[in-house]
Amino acid sequence: MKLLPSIAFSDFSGSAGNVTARKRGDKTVLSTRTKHSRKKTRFQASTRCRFTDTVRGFSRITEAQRQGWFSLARNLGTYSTSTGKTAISGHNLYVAINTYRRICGKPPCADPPATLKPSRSISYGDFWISPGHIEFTAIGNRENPNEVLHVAMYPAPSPAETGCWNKTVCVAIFPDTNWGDIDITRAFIKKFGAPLAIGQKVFITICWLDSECGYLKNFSQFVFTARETSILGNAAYRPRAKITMDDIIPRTVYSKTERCDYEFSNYLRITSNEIVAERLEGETAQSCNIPHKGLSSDFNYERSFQYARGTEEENYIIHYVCVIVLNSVSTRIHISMCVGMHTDHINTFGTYCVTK
Amino acid sequence: MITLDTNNFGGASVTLRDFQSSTLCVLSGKITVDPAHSSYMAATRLELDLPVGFTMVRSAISNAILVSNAPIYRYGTVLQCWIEDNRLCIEKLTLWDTFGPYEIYINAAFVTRCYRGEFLPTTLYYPSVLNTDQFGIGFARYVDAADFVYYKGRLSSLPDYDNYGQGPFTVLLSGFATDVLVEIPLIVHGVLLPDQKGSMITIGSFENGNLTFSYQEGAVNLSGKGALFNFFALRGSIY
Repeated sequence: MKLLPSIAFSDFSGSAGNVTARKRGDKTVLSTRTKHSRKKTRFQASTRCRFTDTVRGFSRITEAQRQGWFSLARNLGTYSTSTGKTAISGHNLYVAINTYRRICGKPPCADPPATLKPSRSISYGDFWISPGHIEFTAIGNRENPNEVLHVAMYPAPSPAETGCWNKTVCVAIFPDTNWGDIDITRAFIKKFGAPLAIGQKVFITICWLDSECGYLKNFSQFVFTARETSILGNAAYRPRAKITMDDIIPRTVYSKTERCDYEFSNYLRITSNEIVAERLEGETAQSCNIPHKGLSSDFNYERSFQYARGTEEENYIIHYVCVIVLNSVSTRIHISMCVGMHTDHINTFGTYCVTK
Repeated sequence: MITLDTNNFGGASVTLRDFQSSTLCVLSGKITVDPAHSSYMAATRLELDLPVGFTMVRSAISNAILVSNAPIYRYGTVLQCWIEDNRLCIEKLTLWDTFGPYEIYINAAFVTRCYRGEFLPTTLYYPSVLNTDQFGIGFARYVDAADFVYYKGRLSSLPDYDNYGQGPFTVLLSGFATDVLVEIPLIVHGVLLPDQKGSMITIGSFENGNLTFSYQEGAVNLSGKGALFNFFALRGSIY
């Protein structure tokens, strides 16, 4: 909707075609009706449906609740949006708050929140904006369990585009970071259908948003062109030396893996890990093999001797296992029982030095 | 040394030896837990508040050893242990609560994640046993860092109780740091007794570069069996 000062319509209020004139103070302003993009993607349909439902929700709440929203809007004065500050009506505040609540997976709230906890910008270490990796590292911790990371992006078709903050759309909500990291790559491709191209300009806004409150106020803004090296440190992309369930084949005729969370955490090659697996028929009684799909080059032949524990039914007997990560000719995690009762279940965890 | 004054299980103040950096901490010491305390019974996990200013807010999973007060063999198991929101958190298992107060030994490293730098090759040492007529250590790996050591291995067999009694017994070592003083659980493995809950455990200590341990009275089933150890400990921890 665009607001236009008008001379010709100075004493006129009403609509004609796509133009609406209304009095605001001692002035008359014209607005044109928003042009529908007519796009019918799943995301567009979902967003429109959510918006429509939220708008209608305002008419379903009680008069007392509506007055509460009006009061909150008056007290707020101005409301920050990604395009700047604006005075906001009670109705629009209701829609804004509940839109962000719903984006965060929360049900709409009829009562205005007692306090508005504003979103906040993020601190970070470095980030990659490349076709293969849109990742931020060392993001500061959230301040309360309700905070989520709200990420909005807009990949500009032309590098000449500027100030496209009003075109950014929510790409992902992260309930928390992964040890300070967020990987937006998959969410970006899912949202926009294609990865970034080298040299393509992208607009990004990120903030810690209180999902209960839904009050978007402060955020970090980034506009960069995609390149292979990191934006701040100019470093080549280096994956973390980790193995997750996504990296292994959890079920084979030989083994069934319930949990695999393994990472090198220090330059001294110290691993922190937790592996829960079950040896199935076909393996030797002393070992269990978990195939993986290929790991970072930091892995070659890594061996750690670790405590393991029997199940409750096995009275928590302590075992001693040797965990070997093979990542050259053979691609598997080999767990062998060094000492202890031979059992089909393996539950090993802890922090250990990796030794050859 | 750090002192953890408050906890959620009604325990007394705990003092642990510590090495702290932003990505790696080593803690060493033991915690006494009273399962009869009402706070313990209400807790779903054990939490000890770390002192203000403790470097690490959150860690990946590490481990601790529960050593029960069960008669003779002090059965126990390995527990999950980690740092979360400036608290040292330990998994709670109640299998040995009926034996009264138990101890949790923490001789462990705590690390953060997201390391993306280069890795150094691990330099390994192999302390040798001097009194090989009595002892042997297999599966041994020893990492000697500036501030801490990491040592794991398996005593191939323990002295015979009937002939040598309760001890103490000393494994004389060459090549293990002489400035480490640490008490550790030795996990004894052998034939399982009927209805055995957890593993047999006896306590040993590294002092002046040697390992000393003894048996509880009547612990005949410890002798002749192998015993495991796997721990981090602080350098310069003799005060």
